Amino acid sequence: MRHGRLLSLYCMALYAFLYLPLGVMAVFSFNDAHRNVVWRGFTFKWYQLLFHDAELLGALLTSLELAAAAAAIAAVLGLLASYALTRHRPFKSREGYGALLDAPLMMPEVALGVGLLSFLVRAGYELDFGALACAHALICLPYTVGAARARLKSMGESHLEEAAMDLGATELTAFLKVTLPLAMPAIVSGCLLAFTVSFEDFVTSFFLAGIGIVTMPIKVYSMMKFGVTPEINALSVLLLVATFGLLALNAALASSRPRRDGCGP
Amino acid sequence: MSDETLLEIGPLTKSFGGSVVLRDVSLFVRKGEFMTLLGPSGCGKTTTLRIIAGFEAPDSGRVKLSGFDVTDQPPYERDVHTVFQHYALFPHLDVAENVAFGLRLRKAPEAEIARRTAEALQLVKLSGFEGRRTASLSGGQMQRVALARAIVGRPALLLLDEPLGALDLKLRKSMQLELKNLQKRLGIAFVYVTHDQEEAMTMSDRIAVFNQGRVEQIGTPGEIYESPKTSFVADFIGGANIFSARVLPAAAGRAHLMLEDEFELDVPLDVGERLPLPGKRVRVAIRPERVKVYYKDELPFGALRLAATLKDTVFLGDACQIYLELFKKSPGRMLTAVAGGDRYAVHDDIGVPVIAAVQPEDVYILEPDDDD
Repeated sequence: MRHGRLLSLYCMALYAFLYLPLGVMAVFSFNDAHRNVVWRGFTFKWYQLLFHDAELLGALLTSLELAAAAAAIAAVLGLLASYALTRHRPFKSREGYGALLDAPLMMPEVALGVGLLSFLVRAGYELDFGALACAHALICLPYTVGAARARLKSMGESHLEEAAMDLGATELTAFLKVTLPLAMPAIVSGCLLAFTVSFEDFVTSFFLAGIGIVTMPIKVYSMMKFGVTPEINALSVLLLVATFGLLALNAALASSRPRRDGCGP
Repeated sequence: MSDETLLEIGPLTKSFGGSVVLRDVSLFVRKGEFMTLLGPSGCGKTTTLRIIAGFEAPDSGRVKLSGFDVTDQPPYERDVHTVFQHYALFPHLDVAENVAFGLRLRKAPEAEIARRTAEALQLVKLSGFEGRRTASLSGGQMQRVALARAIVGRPALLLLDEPLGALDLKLRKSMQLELKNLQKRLGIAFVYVTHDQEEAMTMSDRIAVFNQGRVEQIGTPGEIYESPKTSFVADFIGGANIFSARVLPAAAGRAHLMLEDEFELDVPLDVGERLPLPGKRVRVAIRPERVKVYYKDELPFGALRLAATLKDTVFLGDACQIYLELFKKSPGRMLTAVAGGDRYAVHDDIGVPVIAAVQPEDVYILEPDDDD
């Protein structure tokens, strides 16, 4: 009994450590005061202010576009890479190539930012939206590859594409009628993760944004220079809600995948 | 090759990453024939099947279907369908859509698709399951859907890769009979891969016994059982006591053998059977169920007589396994006999001298014994 009590105390402390700051932030986003320290009463005014801040809304739009573009690029590249890694006959150091695709996950973003920046500058490429989208696609790639690769691998073991070809489907038809529909939940789930990763990315954007491109995290950072205002709290709460929404959607997709791949009992 | 021949393959060789999987595999299948590729796992039977289907290309050798060389054709151009080991049903389609998959690809008219799908499902006794998700089916039902999907297009040849392997014993037995009946009714030739020798015996018109990438013997179940050509075949199908024997000079049409340097046997040769020269060694097989054990010298007429000591008996329920010590020079080498009934299930008899009797034609002469 005592052990059970200790354990639940410990759990509560852990979750408090994780989520209390977020909770406090959420509470103070409704605080009717300019300073964060004292509770002065309930208000929606910070949220209203937020939605009338043209600069902020612009940054939000930029971030959404950027995340969508990055997720789309990463999804296509990720699917193609996973297909090569799971469907082609084993080629030399296939595992190595697979690991290289996962590497951006572990790479220090500062190094990545510096590398990308100096590369693009040297290549004479303008630091525009396209460059930033490609850079984001790079950091998103491990997520889309990871999701698609796992799915394609388990599908390969159940010989579904072979069954389609056996029944008269060409490689392309088998891909379109069997591989793609079955891999779709994994592709979408990878996209959602990629979208989240791109949307919240600060370091890479900060290195490459240079002139004129202001993403949401960069905007928040610049607002922070004047202290943590309740407006930032409100914004963070909205971002949190959106992120949890995406995660929930992702979880729902994951559980909606077919349990069995037509395999035996 | 007669014009009845549907499939002809050979001599196929194939290796994966340096390890040889097929060594000169050749065989043919007649129209409407049930041909089984039988062998232990890793013997090359599944690879042979995949080469016929077009999923693998042989390193050398050709695949001919109805007289046409299809070796370089992709799977979707071959008039061959496969029932996969784990069914490979499309999980995103329902039962009817799974069955109709091939017909849809061929752009058959919808009315025809509906009619033939219903027909195929009726054949496998799954009428009424059209709208079911494949994940909600039992193993046996999935098996039937896979079968319906493969036969709905009426291919000339159906390939089945251990289709009953995932089912429990009772279901497997009833499915064996059903499959066999279906095959006869449709008149489609089957190439059936299994490692279960009993299954092969029950269902096949002919069996090709595979071992280590080679075809050891091809024949009807009766031929394979009654005149095995190698010790692997004798042992894998039905089980056998395998001994070494020295060839002695003998009359024409007969073999005179010295079994394990202790017993002299005089046995008839099959028509056309050839024997190594006198002085060489061959392997011989004796099936346990063809060995009769007698306590007294009351042998049936014409039987070979081997003096032995009863060492152990194992009660098997419907039969009894008897271990006999036959050879004084190598006492560990037992002769196993199987007797029906419970007559020998008495442990008191252990150690008593008995007579093992074998009819001369039940001694099978196998491959030369190169061990010495």
